[in-house]
Amino acid sequence: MKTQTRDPKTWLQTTLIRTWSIRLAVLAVLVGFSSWGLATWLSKDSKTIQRIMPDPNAAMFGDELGTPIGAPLEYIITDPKAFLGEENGVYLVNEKYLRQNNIYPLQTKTVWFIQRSVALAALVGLVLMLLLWTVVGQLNQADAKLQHKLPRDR
Amino acid sequence: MKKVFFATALVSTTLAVGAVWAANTAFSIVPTINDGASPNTLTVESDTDFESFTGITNKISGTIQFDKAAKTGSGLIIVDGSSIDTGNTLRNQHMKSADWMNFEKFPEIRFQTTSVKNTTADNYEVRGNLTLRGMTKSIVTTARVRYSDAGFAQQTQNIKGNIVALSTKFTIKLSDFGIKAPAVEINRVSDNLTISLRVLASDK
Repeated sequence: MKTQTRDPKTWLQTTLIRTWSIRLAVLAVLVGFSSWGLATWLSKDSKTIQRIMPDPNAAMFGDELGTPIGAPLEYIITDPKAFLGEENGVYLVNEKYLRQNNIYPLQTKTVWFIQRSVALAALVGLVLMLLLWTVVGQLNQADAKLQHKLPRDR
Repeated sequence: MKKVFFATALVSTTLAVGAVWAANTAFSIVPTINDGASPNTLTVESDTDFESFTGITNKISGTIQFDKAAKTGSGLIIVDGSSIDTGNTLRNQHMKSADWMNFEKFPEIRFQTTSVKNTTADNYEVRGNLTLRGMTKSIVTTARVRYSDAGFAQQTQNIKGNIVALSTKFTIKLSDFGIKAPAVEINRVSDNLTISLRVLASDK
């Protein structure tokens, strides 16, 4: 008994799907690791920063420099002109300078939030691509077995 | 004997009236100083899962009654909430909308003290009613009130009169003021909002 020849078009499609799913899975792994690398690189300049709006009336409030804007947070600010000094490990940054120069300071929290989002998307992509690769592979095998059992000519 | 009694009563009454006068020294919030800038600041701080942000405004008015000797007082502070700038136009628009602070309908944030108690040096425990989004809730906070005499304020900043500098910081829950935005309910935006206030008030 001879086996029936498989449809070349179907074979090509399944092969292409499997090839691209494994390529995209590898890409997802690369994107995941790259996002971590990029976030680590960006965070290397991260500092605990207190934004201060310089205020000539600060002495009347019992302060030295001015009005604190929010609580100290982890920021990535690289412009040395923005810094006013350092107190107990907290860097003081001139809010007026930031505003005058349209600098919206990047928060370390934001960098890692984006990294987690990208990594999660990459992980979902990786799982989907591996699932697709596996399912198409199994369908391919099942199809091959079926083709093998079917008589070619009645 | 009666004369002595009446004389004593008259002196006591005069002293008491004097004390009441001293207790009622009114300080108005200074809108601008010599360079045209406002010396007053209100900042709000909030956390989202993406970033922490602050909003700032200088549009603050009101009066403070302060008795330097008795270390007590009261006050009414009014803030134009619709002028709070978070540094992001879209976020400012959201903040003003009915789902959030509803500044389009209720632009004012008001704080009226109900009791003020000196704790240490320039520090006070302040109880009062905070009105936001048209809803009033009682809050308790600590405040620092520093008094500067006219000479100091005039020399340093050309501000007339004696000055009180009030600074306070407290945290409220958005949900207490009826904010039920989905982002708060699923914790993408913190339910806590920290408010810091610094104002200068003059008695002239």
